Amino acid sequence: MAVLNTICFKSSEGVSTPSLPVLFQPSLSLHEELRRKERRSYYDTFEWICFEHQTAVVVKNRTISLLDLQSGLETAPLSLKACPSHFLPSTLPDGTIKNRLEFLAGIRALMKRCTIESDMVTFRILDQIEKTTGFLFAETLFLIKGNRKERIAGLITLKPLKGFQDDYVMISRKLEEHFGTESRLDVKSVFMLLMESAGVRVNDYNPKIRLALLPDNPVRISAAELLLFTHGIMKSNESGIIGSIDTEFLHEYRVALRRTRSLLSQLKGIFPPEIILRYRQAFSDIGKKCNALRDCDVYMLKKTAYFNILPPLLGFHLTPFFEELEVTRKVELKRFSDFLRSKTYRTMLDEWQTLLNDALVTPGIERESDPGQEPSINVAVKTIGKAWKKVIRHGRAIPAEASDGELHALRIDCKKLRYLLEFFSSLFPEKTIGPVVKHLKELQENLGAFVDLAVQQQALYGYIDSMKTKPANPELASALGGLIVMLHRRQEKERKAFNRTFRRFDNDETETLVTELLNR
Amino acid sequence: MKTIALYSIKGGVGKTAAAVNLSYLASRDSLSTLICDLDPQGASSYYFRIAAGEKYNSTKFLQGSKKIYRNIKATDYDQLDLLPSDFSYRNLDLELLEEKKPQKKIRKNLEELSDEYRYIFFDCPPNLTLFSESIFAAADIILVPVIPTTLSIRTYEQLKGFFESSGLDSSKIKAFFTMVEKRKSMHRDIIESCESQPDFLKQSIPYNSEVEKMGLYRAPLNAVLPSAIAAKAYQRLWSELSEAVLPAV
Repeated sequence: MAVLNTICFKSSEGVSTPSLPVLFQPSLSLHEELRRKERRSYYDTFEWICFEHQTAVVVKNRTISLLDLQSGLETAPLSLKACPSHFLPSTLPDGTIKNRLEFLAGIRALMKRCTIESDMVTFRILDQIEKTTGFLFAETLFLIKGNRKERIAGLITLKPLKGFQDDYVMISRKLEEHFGTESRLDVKSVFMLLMESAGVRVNDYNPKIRLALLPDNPVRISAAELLLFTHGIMKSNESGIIGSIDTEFLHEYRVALRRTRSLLSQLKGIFPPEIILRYRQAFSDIGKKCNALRDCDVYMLKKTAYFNILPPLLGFHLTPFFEELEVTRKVELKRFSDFLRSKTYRTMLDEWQTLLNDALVTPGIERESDPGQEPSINVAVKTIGKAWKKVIRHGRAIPAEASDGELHALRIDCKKLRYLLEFFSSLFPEKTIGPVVKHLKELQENLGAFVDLAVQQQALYGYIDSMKTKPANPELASALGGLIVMLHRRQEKERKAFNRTFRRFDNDETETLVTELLNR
Repeated sequence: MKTIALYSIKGGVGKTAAAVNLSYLASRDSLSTLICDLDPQGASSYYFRIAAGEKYNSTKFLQGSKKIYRNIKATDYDQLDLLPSDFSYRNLDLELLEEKKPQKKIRKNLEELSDEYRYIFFDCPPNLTLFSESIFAAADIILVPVIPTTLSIRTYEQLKGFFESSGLDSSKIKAFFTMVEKRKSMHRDIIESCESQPDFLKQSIPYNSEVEKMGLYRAPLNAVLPSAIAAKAYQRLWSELSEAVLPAV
């Protein structure tokens, strides 16, 4: 049975609907159920992942439910203690909604996007034996902004019931005749209307580089476009970091920061050396300022995993470690938030933006010796080729038993290559660059896991060292020792896997793809 | 998904009233629930004011998931759907005989519904046939309403005997007393004699004329008169089932 979709009609009458009750007589009648006011808040993640999956997260009357934006079907509501400004899916009570939101949003928080108030009356649509065959809702919708209420629209919604298709067809036809075809909306359009009225732009954030660079444009212009993009990502994530909404704000901020630094170091000559030097230093400083905060986030995210890899009795003793970590995180968050709000930082970023905007309109003097004038595609081919060769050369030089230092260095080489491939992806055919990135990703995953495990152990050793000055806690020390052993075992597994992973990457297929990419 | 069959060899013991009210209470816990009216008399369909579509019949029922799904209808209550009965269900036994594995037919036919519903209630016809055996195989619990009279107890014992002689899992059978009139000494004595039997639920349903009036309201008693004595008893019965019995199956 095809799902009957909820349909809506814009109506100037709104909640007062003198024309409705007689509209479907004599075969169907309307029974007025109740008139009420209802506040609904809509939530989504920062990058609108629920909307991307045709889902709206609705909180009303202290319950949460998921609304399918295609069919209008709503899940059974789940009780909530409050209507928070944001929450993590993991904090919801167990059940279908939690599972679905954890699947969609993962570790991202759901943020309140807008609140509306509905002055509504519900009608049951009754057939001749008084069976309910559907519901009609007549509403006047208001946008809630603080203490203010602004009228958005009047709306008539037909919510069908499973198994009563004939009545649904008849009612929707009558409603269409009455309100006009042009006023008919589907559930998704109503959602968009609400967001638009609230001044919220749906899908306004995407951290993936989706710029369409022009191959013959001077590389200075392409670089400025890319740097303006990473600058935008940094700015967009600042408020989420300061508000401590979820850990991904800082993560994406730092990715944008690393991309910025990578562009500045790899695309030589796009700006005068003193400018490059100044900003490389400035961005490097920002990175250092948030390293400790990110470390805290990473450990907090691994909390459950850490507890799980140790026997329960030992895992329990890690609690003081995480308690201390939470305190440290608060201090680090305060410190970095103060920095993000500081005049020094804001001025630096504003000046940086001005410089990039200027580069777009005045790309420099046209002379052959100016490396910034070189066509983007030439620079892309040259830099990618160089970075590629470096990865292959260094990778092949690593012996069967790779050392920590060798793998760490190769990881950085791979990162540089990956960034270049991402920066210039629009200059190459997707079918060639896509598989190269995919192969590189597998290698990066192995190297990333190896280095992460090494860093974690190092930090735990550091923490144990710091315990010397604190009151003795042998239980915690033994739990941390156990954790280091487990992490070390995993790290060794990754080390063993390296040669095999690298061989999969350094093969004829990848080489053919890269050659094809660079000899276009 | 948990399946609960309201079943008794004997008629007029309150199977439909229990199926309608218990399924309604399950759906009130915000758990998607389906009630399958398997009795050709179609009493639970009548209570919910639902009739099967003109093209629906026992053959469609035996064809399985898609055909069944297409004929499910929403009741007036959120989270509660109904698969209506059709008079042609009286032929289900004959039609089942032609199937390869008739005993497993219903369980197989309902497999796809497990994604959609947390609970499925069967309102079963009062007889002991091949169709009943197919229901026994499909149900997680066979819930038997028993009037505290000798005849009712006798048919309940017959059912247990049938399970044992047929090698069926008799631990699925749970009974509860219904239409209980405490003023009658026979009712009191029979209930007392069964108290220690683990297959009997603690909660019983008293005789209450409001239950009979469900035919007039055409709605679950718990929806229209939740404070009626029997409605409160159904609520307690559902609590016992959902908290103590169902989690264990």
